[in-house]
Amino acid sequence: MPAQPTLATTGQLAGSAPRSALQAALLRTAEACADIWASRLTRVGIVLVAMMVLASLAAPLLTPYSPTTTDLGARLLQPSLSHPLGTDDLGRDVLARLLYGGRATFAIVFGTLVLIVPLGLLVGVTAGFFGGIVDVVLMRLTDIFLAFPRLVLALALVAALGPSLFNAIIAVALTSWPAYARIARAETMTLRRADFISILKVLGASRPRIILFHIVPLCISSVLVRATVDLAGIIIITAGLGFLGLGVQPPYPEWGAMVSEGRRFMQDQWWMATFPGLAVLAVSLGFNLIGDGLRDVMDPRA
Amino acid sequence: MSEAAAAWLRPRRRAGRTAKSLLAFVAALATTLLGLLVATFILGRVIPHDPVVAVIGDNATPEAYAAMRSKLGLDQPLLTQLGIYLDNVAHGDLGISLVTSRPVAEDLRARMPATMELATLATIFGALVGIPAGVLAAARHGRLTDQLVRVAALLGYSVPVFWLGLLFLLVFYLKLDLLPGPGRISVWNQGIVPTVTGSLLVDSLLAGETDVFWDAAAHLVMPVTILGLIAVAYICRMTRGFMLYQLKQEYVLTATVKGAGRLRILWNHAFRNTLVQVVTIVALNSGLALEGAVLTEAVFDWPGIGSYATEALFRADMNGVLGVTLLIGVVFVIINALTDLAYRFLDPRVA
Repeated sequence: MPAQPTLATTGQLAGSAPRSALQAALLRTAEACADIWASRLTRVGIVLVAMMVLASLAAPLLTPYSPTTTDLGARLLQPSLSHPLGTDDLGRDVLARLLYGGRATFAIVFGTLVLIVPLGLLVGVTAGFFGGIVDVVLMRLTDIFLAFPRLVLALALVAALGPSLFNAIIAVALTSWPAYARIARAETMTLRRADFISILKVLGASRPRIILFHIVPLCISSVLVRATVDLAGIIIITAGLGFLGLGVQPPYPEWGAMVSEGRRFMQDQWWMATFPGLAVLAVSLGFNLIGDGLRDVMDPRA
Repeated sequence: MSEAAAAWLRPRRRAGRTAKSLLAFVAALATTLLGLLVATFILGRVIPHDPVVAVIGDNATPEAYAAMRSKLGLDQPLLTQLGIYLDNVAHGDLGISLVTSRPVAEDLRARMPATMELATLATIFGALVGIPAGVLAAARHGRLTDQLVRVAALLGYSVPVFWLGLLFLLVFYLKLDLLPGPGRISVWNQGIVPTVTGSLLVDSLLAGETDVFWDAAAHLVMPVTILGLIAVAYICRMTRGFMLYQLKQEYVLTATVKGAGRLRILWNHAFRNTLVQVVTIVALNSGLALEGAVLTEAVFDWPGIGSYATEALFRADMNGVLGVTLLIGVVFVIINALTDLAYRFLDPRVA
C-alpha cells in the first residue's frame, strides 16, 4: 500500500502561495515526484531504469571490449571472470554488446518520444481547440491509426521502408502517437471554454499564441505521464522488431537482435540469448513500475 | 405536452436515436476500414523495391518490363491504382505471394485456422487465470497477495514473449524433454486427419484419432502459455481495477451490514457488476492475441499467419506482409466494433 503524503508534502514545500508560474510548476513537479518516490515498487523501477541507462552510457568505462570486433579464437566462451556474460559465436563479449546495445534501445525510445509527444500534442490540441470538421477529420485519422495493431503496423512499415535504426524509430512513433492526440484533445476540450481563454481572445491573442503558450503547457503533463506508462510497450515493440531483424543492422548490437542471434546456440550456449532478453525485461519492468506508480498518483481508482 | 403523449413519444424518440447512433457507428466503421485499406495501399507504394522487378526478375527486356508494369496497373495515376487495389481486395485478391507463388488470400485462408486455434486458446487461458487473479487481488487490496499478483502481472507485461518462448523451449523441450518442440504436430502425425474445421484439436476428435489429439494438445501447451501470459497480465490488472471500484461502492457496505458473506459480496454482488467491463476486456484482448501471435509463431514455427508474415518479410514479399497486416487489422477493427456495440447493448448508460 503506497503512502499518501500529498498534503503533508505540499504544505512543507509550498509554505506560501507560489509567486511565479515557474515556481508553481516546480512545486507541482516536486510534489508529484515526492508522491511517486513514496512507493517502494516505483523506487525499484526508477533505480532499475537509471542503472540501465547509466550503464549503457558509460559502456566504454565498464568493459574493455569492443561490441563489434570479432575474435574467432574466443568463440562461444562460457561466462567467466574475463567475460562475465560469455562470448558469442563471433567471439564478441556479450556484456560489451549488451551495454552498447542498450544505446540502440534507448535511442529508439528517446527518438520515438521526441517525435510522438509534439505530434500527438499538435494533432490533439488542434482538434480539441477548433472542434467541428477539423476535429472530426483529425480524430478519424487518429482512430484509423489506433485501429492498426501496433506491432503489425510497425512491422509492415519497416518492411516497406527497409530495416534500420531510423526507420524503426519512425515505425514505432507512427504507431504510438494516436494515444497522445486523444489525451491532448480531451484536455483541450475541458480548457477550451475556460474563462482565461475567453479573456485571451478578448485581449486579442492570436490562435496559434493561445494554443502554443496557453493550452499546450497545460496538456504536457498528462501527455508525459501517458508517455511514461507507454515506454515499456515501446521497449517491447522495439525488441520485437529487433528479434525479427528489422531494427539496428549487424554488426551493431541491439537486444532483440542479440536474442535472435543466440537462438541457434540455445541448447549449449544459453548465455547468448538469455542475457539480452533479461536486459529487455529489466528495462521494461522498470518503466512499468514507474508507470504503475504514476498511475497510482494520478488516478487512485485504478 | 400531456403525460400520455410524452410516454407515447419516448420510445419512438429513443428508437430514432438508436438508429441514428447505429448509422454513425456503421459510418465510423466504414471509414476506419477504408483508412486501413488506404494505409496498406500507401505502404505498398513506398517500398524501395521495384514491384515489377520482383515479379519478372531484373534481366527482363524493356518491352517485357513495360508490359508487366501496365499489367500491374503501375502506369496508371495513383488514384486509379488505389481504385484497382480496392476493387481487388473487395474481390478477395491480395496479390500473388513471392514466397509460395500462390495467391496471398489462399495462403492466408489455409494458415488462419492455426493462428485462430492458438489465439483463441490463449485468450481463454488468459481469462481463466486473469479474472480470478484480479478478483483475488482486489479482495485482498493492499495486502501481500495483492502485491504479489501485481508484481506478477507487471512481470507478464514486461517480459519479451519471443525470449520467454525460447527459454521455455530450452527448459521444457531441449533439457527436460517434457513437451514437444516447435511446430503444430509431430512429423509422423502430419496429414492423418482430414481438415474439417481447421482446428487440429477438433478435427482429430472428429476423426476419432486420439493419438493425434494428444500430440496436437501437447504442441499447443507452450505457445498457448506464452501468448496467454500477456492476456493474463492484462485481464488481471483490468479486473482488479474494476473490482476495486465496485468494492468501494455503497451497495457493498449495505450488503456487508445486512450480513452477506464475503464470498457472496465478492462474486454475486461486486463481480457481477464488473461483468460487462470484464467481457469487453477479454474481447479486446483476443484482438491483441492475434497481434502477439506474430512473434509467438516466429519462435515456435507455428504454421499460422504470423509466421507467414515473417517469412514474407525475410523474402521482401510485400504482398504477403500487407496481406497479413490487412487481415489482422480488419479482424482487430471488427472485434473492437463488435465489443463497442455489445458494450452499448449490455450497458444502457453508455448509449
